[in-house]
Amino acid sequence: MIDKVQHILEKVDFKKGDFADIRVQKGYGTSITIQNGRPEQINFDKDMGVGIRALINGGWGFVSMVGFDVIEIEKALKKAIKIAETTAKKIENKGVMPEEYSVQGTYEVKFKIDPRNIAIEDKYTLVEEFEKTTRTYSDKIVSTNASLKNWFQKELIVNTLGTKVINEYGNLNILCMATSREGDIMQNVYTSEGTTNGWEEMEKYDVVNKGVELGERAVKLLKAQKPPSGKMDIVMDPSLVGVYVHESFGHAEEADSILAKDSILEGLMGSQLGSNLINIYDDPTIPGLRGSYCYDSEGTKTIKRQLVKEGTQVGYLHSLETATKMGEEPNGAARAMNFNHRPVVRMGNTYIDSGDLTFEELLELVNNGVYLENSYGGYVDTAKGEFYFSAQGGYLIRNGKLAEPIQNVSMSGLCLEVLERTVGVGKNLQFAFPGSCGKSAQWVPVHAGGPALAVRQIVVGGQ
Amino acid sequence: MSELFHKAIRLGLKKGADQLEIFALEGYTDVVQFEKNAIFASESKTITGIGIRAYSNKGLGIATSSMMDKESVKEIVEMAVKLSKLSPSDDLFESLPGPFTKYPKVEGLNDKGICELPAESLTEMTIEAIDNALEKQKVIVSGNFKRVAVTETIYNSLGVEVSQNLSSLTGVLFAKAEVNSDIATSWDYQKVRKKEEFDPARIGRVAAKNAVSLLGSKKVKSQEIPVILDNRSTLDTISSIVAAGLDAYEVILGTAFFKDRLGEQVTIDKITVKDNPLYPRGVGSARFDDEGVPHKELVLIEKGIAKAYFSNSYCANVLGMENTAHAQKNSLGSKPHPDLTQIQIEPGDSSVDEMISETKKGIYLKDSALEPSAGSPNISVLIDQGFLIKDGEISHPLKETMVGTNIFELLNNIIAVSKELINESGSISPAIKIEKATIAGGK
Repeated sequence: MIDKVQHILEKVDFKKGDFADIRVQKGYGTSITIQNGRPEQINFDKDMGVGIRALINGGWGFVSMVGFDVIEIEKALKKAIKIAETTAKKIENKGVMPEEYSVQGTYEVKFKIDPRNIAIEDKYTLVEEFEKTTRTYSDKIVSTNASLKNWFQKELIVNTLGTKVINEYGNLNILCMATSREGDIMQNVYTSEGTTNGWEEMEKYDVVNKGVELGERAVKLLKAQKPPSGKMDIVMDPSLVGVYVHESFGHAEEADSILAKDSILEGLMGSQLGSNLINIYDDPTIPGLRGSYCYDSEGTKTIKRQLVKEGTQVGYLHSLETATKMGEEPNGAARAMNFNHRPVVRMGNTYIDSGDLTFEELLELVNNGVYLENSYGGYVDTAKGEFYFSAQGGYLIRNGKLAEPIQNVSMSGLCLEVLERTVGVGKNLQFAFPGSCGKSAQWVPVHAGGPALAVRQIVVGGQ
Repeated sequence: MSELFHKAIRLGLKKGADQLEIFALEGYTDVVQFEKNAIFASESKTITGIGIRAYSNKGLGIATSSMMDKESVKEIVEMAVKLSKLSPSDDLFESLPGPFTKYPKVEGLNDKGICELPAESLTEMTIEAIDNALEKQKVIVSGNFKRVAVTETIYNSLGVEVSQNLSSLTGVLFAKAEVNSDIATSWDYQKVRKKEEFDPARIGRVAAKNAVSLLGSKKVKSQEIPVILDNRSTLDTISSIVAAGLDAYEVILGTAFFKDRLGEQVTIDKITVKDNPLYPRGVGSARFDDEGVPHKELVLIEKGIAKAYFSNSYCANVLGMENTAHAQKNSLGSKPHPDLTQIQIEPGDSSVDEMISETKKGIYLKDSALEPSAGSPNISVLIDQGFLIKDGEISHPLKETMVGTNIFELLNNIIAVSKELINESGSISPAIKIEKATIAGGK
């Protein structure tokens, strides 16, 4: 197939500076969801299609189609070229791709135990046990939802620069959510794990213990205090650090945001952004994490990227286009959700590196304040650099120790303030945030994390 | 396609399914993307795929494919039936809906002007929005303009066989204003079902004006003060509360805020809310829901009293209530769950100007939903499009400020409803004033 697709590109005469690529993708997977003890749904999903980009006279065109018919792909390429030509007449900021940059390679996923070979009944049993353990922990648990998803995809990528790449990717994700209720007081908690390793990870995942922990957390939060509000010193757990470093900082490091003047980090390369205790990386080469992959959706081999070194900004995340525009080397960060979308600059596994303090030492540093644990989403305005994150719960910190539990606690502030005001970095790096990252209406699997952090004077609030 | 779908249903039943449903989409979307005040890419994307929902002994299997050729449809029908047989029974399931003899006529769901709009015209509309944003304000804009045309088809083994064409134009424009190191961002958007109602110039002008108005934001102290929600904020807030509060599936799960409260006063008597999928040219309008059940209007809250849950066929059967035709699918592969189409809130007798002038100290929110956290009645939101009201006048925009309350407090603390309404292509709302909410400030 890849030779046929390459031949389609070879038949078209592209001028110097023009570019096109064809991405053929086949993906399939199963998912199981159980809700309140009842089977919610069992799914098999299959995606087969082609995404085609053309850059003509500096204008971009993109066309997607279902199926792999060669004649239809040829037609779609012509349409992409026509759209690009029309766009080129109206643009001011011309698109640019490298004059020379090609990759040839194949990456085949090798699972220890291939999730595709596990019987659907065995997958169901695992989810059932997870959901049931959580639900039966207490009669105050009024709702539960547990799910398991596995996905596998193969992409063929060819372009007019000579790139010819075959890349495979597969992942597994398990999740359980619970709602506890006492009158009008309701608390929501969840726990999840995601991996690009095989079924062996699910065999290690103790759904009984995890379910009990989740149920216990949901019930305990019903009696927790409302959070204090105002500016105070805090300790963030690794999942909050993960959400922070991904949402609040990582997106601002994406070079397309920098070029679009939509990032607070524009013009700050080489500047001291925060405490010299902070080192930040994005590394899709770490085996087994959700955001791990070999080649990106432009066929570039990905590498570990250092974004911040001892508080100083040292790197961006790049696609072929952003690297060319900024005169830097591509680093394999252009990812597309599927054939129906253009690759855009994305993170893989983003983290703040570990420091040298124990959790107890972080609490002592803060002395009086708030500990936030188990992230529950949030959002960021990358242009303004303002963030808002909520946690499933937390504790007051009094005299350097954890005191009363608190519910529905949130934190907000300016993105760089967290880096500036970090006074302590924990020693236990955990990738505690397995998630799906949304950008440009595309969702891609990512992981994020860090050690716990002690931070001065952050706005805390909640219900 | 009709013969293919009939064959698929026959095959599914032959393979042992008790009931079978086909949900198919065929269409396309054209998108013009822009950033840094200029167009940079155009896209033409497929919206095609098919989903099969099969039930065997009350077990459910779902299979989907982006391909709609005979072989792909055969493969997923067989897979859906296989999964339905592997699935344990859901004893609460009774039946798919249908058949139905009569479907409502809804005016303006599919506009020739949108479907036949040349790609170049979408580009011109985008440029018009950008030019209007930049005409009077110093801003940097980004966003996208989109045309969607899709045919939605639903067949099931009980005799539902319906199809509808839907088209729309959408424009979203984000604006960033910057003076020295002071940065403010805002947006405007519009989605319509008729080309003539689309106003790209307004989208550009409003987004840019909003962004500039948010420059000079200041922190405030933590305190408990009144909050005024503009029309869009009210629409999104009430919509999110009602969506989670009266959802029949949430009632079954035990997490609906208003479970067992039908007939009870849940908010002040000035609040009446209905869901209206029949509104002409409404962007949430359609002839039938995602199970092929004919749409109709539904009063959700009348003079503050909770009147009805909204349901799909599954929930209606479980709760022994009428199916209100609110089944919606998030994707081809999702099981349909109840969701609102477009809500319409009755006007009150106050005015936004009065609400502001009568407020000694408070917050004015623009286009900011006070949404409850997923599944919880608690509300905790960062204010990024808000202003401090001081002595009856808008004083300054806010930064590092969060508002916290919960849905019960919010509904009971509404003290004014405006007579001015906004009509967002079928979603209609006044503005409201809330007596008090907790503000967490960074000062």
